[in-house]
Amino acid sequence: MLVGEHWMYAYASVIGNSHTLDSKPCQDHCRVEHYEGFSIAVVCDGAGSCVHSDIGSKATTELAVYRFQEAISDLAWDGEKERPTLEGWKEVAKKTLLDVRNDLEEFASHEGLEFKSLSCTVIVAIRLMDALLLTHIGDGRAGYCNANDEWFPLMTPFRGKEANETVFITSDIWDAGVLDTYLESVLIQEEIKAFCLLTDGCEKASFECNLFDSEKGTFYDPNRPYKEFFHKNVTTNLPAFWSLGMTQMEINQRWAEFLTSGNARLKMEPDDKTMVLAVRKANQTISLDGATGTA
Amino acid sequence: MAPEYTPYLPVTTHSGFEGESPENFEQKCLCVLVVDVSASMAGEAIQQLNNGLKEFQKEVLNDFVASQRLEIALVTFGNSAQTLVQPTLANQIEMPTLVANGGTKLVDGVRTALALIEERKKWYKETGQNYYRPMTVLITDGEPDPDQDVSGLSQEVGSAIASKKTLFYSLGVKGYNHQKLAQINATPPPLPLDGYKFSEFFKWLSNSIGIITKSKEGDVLRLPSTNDWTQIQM
Repeated sequence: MLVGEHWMYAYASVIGNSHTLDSKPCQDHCRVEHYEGFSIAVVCDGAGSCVHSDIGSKATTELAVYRFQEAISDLAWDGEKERPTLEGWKEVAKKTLLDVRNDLEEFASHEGLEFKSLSCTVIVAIRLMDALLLTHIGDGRAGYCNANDEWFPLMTPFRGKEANETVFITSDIWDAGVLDTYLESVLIQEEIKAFCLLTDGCEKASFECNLFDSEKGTFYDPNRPYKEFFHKNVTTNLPAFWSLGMTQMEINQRWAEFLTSGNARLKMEPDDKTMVLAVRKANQTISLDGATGTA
Repeated sequence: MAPEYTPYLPVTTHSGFEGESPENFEQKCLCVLVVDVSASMAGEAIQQLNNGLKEFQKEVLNDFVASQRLEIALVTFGNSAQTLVQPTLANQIEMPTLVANGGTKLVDGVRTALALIEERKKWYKETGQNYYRPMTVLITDGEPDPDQDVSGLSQEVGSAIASKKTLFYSLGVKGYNHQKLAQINATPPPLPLDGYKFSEFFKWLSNSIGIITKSKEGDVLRLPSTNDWTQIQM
């Protein structure tokens, strides 16, 4: 952890009930890394149909951290010299994710594995001094909490016709004519207190995503982070563990236990579950000009 | 009518993290049972089939996630095809007691099932619901009446499977015509029921559906062994 890091994190990937019964490995993977002026969080969900997707999700996570660290370090998006623009970020995200895809293909070839056997979704969030960048391919969810304690979605999961149909980093989506259908990039520049990234195994527990509208008689997906899921963890629990001096590993172990069986919905979930929760430390506020102050 | 949300039972952990979950509904998985109630099924066959259907419902209810996702429909065929149970979640079904008599309008039964699936999928789409690929399970002890268009049905089933409209499984009960049934769908091949082990078959079906409703698109499914109810190993 870098000295002066103004955010605290809890992150873990845990195996789902159906994979435990099937003796399958956890096909989710996540990682958070801190650098001078920014941090990177990556969440990947391996495709259940692909024999090496557990290896693919781990490799994609590592490659994404490496490639985005390189890309962001080369830029001057530190809020002092230059600020990111949505168009600029979209270009960086496309190019960098393509680099990750090509690295993964090279990895597959080196390891003697079929490229598509490594299929996984990917969500990348970059926390800059005064902005949050997100890009993703496939499903999963992400959201953020603003200074007024209001939660908003950060991305729209890509869904096919049938339940749980999606696209992966290995899919044939890289043609310039169609890429924007499958690759979404977002820039948030308002002040934020917290954000989350998660695979679809956590979505029913933490997002409103399949509600019933009794007036219209239809089901709908508001794609809304559920405040009651996050609030105490953001305002009380994670800050308490942090102030007690727990290590990141200790916090993550507790987070993994929570994701495994922290409430009834999480406990019953058959799919693998991954969630990254990032919370700004309470005595730190970052104004939009990038200066650090004390609340 | 508004769907009923079934809450999850509370649990406690000591992780120090806590959070409530919203009342999200589950995506649906439709299973249409297409069942032969012709005269040849009279006696032990229909009795064991009725017991099996009730145990199937009980088994599904024992699996919380599957019970929230699985809709069961029941189509019978004797002298005509009838939809006795429209697609319904297992906890809301009153399973009928089947009575055997009449001919074997098998083709009409399967066509009714395929139409029911299309109608339900249209409703899922109109009401904004996600769904798994529906499943058709055909159970028969005989062969279709001579006026039934088996080759036409074969093409329809083949096309429905190829276009991912449904998964299709068939089960042959003592005395069934394997060649005729295989003509309707050869892959996967029809499986013969060992005696009248309907209970064992439905237990397997329930366990398999439990796996399917927890799978993701394209998953390679490892379904349970069929040894308990069939003479052939899959």
